[in-house]
Amino acid sequence: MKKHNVFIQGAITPDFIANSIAKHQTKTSIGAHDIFLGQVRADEINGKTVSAIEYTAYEEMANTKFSEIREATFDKFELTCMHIYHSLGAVKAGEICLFVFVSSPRRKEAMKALEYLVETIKAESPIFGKEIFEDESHQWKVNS
Amino acid sequence: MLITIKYFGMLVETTNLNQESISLEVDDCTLESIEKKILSKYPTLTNITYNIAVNQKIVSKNYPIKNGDELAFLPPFAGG
Repeated sequence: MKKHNVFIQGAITPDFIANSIAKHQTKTSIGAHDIFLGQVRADEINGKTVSAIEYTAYEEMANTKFSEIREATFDKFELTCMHIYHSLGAVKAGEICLFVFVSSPRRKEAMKALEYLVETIKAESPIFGKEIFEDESHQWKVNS
Repeated sequence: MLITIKYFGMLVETTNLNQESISLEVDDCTLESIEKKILSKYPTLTNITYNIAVNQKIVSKNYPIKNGDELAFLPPFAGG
């Protein structure tokens, strides 16, 4: 199984996302891209506002898990390619922490595959988030 | 036998370390017996929800542990 490193230190920049889209212009069998961008929310909890999330991961297990999820998604849907990137370290509110990008000849396959991918990533990848408040106190995030 | 134990996320605040090696005088045992040892070392872990992965797979409590295995205590996932 081919293993990719999905982790990027810090926020995923709009430039990185734009370049990633541009790289697909040579792949002319693609008729539809679908993209999910996870953004850090400035939640207000007990009167305090989240200013950033600091991500850590069990990286070896996460990369293995991402490879398994990739394979399962390629088996289920007709996709030309698929890219997954997740941040590690601090990502400020308003910045991007997850970038999932699927491409297919047909839009419906791309859209179905993307939803499956994002939900599976959230449920199965060993990534942990520490919500940092403006006063530098913190709490641990749990996916809902 | 010698095993490695890794801790992640909020669990690190209880154990105060990311990783430790534990030496056991038995040649084979189950995950459950190692978990008991860890809980007696860090009693506050009992208040936290976690799963345990052995060699990167989440397994059940009766899973057999061998020399050189890597255990990881994983709190709820929060990616994305």
